[in-house]
Amino acid sequence: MVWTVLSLGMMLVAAKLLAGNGRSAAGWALAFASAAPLVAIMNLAKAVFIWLALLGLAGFAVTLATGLTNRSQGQQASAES
Amino acid sequence: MQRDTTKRFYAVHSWVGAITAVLIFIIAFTGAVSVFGRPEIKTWAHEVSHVPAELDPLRIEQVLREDAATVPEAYLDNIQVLMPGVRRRPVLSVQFDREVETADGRTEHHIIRFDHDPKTYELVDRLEGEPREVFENEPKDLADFIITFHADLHLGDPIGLLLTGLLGLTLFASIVTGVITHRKVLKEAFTFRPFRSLRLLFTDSHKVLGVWGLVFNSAIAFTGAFLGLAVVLLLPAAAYVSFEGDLDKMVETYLPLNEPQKSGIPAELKIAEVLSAVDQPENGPIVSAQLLTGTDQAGVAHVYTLAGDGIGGETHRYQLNGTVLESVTSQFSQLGGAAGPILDAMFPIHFGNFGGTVVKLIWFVLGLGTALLAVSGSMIWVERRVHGSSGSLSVASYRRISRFTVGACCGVVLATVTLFHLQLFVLPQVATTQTWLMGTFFGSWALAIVWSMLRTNDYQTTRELLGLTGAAAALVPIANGFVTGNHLLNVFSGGHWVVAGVDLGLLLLGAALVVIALKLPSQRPLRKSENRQSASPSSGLSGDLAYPEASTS
Repeated sequence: MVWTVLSLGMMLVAAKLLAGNGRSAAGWALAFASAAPLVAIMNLAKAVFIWLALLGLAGFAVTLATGLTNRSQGQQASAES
Repeated sequence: MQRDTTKRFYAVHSWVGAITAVLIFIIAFTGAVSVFGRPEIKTWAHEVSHVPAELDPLRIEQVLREDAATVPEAYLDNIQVLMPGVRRRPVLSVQFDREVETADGRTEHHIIRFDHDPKTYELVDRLEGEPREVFENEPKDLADFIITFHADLHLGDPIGLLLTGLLGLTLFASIVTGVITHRKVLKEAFTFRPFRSLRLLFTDSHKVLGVWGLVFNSAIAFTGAFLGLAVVLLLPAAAYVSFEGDLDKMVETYLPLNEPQKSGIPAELKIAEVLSAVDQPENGPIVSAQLLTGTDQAGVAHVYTLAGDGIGGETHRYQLNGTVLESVTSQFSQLGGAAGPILDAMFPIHFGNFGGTVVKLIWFVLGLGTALLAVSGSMIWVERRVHGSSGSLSVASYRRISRFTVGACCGVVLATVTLFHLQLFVLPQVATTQTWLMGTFFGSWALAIVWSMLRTNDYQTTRELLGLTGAAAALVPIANGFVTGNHLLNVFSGGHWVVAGVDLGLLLLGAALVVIALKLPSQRPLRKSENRQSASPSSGLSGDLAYPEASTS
């Protein structure tokens, strides 16, 4: 449970890096590295399923959040100009 | 890839999606709810199981012996003890099974089942008959209803299973054609522009949901197709090829019950020792135990548990005289080869019940994503035909399709929430539970569709149906508190954690739906360029979108 939540957190950071940093190698590396704790405590197949699902969830959440905040950023920029 | 080939794949993607979108939404949404069907919603549905009962092996053994003393000896060779609050049963059930030879030489099973209160162990019901007859006559609850609806749309075997299996295949086909058509996967994974235009909102949502949910959706589609078609097509086909069509012989060959040879030395019925041996932290919760020739020294016990360290449920096999035969085996894995573990993983992967509540939550959210993927695809299809150049039907026809989609999709969510109220106020008082469940679910769903078809403004209808569903969902925890006395505020003293979890989920879902209903536009938003021609300049939102005063429908 703790490791699953931690993995989700790490993947959120990774997804944010991927989204905001030109799909960087560091982001992907962090995303893959977050699977390690899951693999360490569970059997491999189980960890892979959970991790892939988590990656999907994290990526989806970050992309959605980025899209939604872009609007307020755009409004702020136009207000300043 | 040739441009024409890509176009052809896009046409297949578009039409397969358009035809199956509503059904995929229905299956995916009820599937997401089914993730928590057993045991969470089932526990919520029965007050007797709100506070979990401690497993008491000695007391269970005593109940088993008392029940066994009241049935004929012929029923004692195959006994099942079904644990309360783990999977299917809210109560403790002891079931005695006997094979009876019919007039035409076939054998059929006859069972006697005793249901006991999970805490006091008092006898609450006794049922007798063929297994199917007993199953059909026992009271049903909303968890049974939703899970069965997800599995076969209540159309039964074979039509329902065939239909849901084929829908799994069409979802898989949509995923493959979608991936081929959208080759800029990385770019699309990070592109979400909700405030540019309605069409971009739909297309970006569809792509983001599709790309990030790709692995999950593929797994769900494949395992769903397998689970739907396995019983109807795959197993009979395998039996036809290898066992001259004798399905029972094939099952006996590959999944033998290992019924022991009787020694002739009588023994007392016992199960406490075996249950205590399996009830360990490294094993999953015990679902049921089966005693084969339990009144003989050579008797064997099979104890079935939910997933522990592995993905699938496990079977623990014990000799009743104290010798451990096999401590852990999975069901199909005992066949050997690569196929066994894959077959074992099909069900847990589909329902996400292999890694605790966190995995179930992830499966639930991703399942809702699959449902939204289908409905967003359908919206794109309609939007391009009503407000674009695609399509050969009249605009009025596409609007009718749009209204039906809104009614069917929002309606199934409303109908599902309605069942929670039915479970609280009606089902405990009536004997014909299945009739009430069918009538309420399909009745409220049909009303939502009729309401949507009669209205001219899809956007307003969506808001109304979502708002109503949200309010109904948020009221469930309050109603539950009044009816059962178990609510979110007394969970620490009451210990009804599962009930509180379901209540909290419904409260959050209800609040989210109400917020979405309030935020949604009441009319189709237009781009500025469209708006300048057709609407008042003072209306609508700031930014790129504006909502005209006049109805566009």
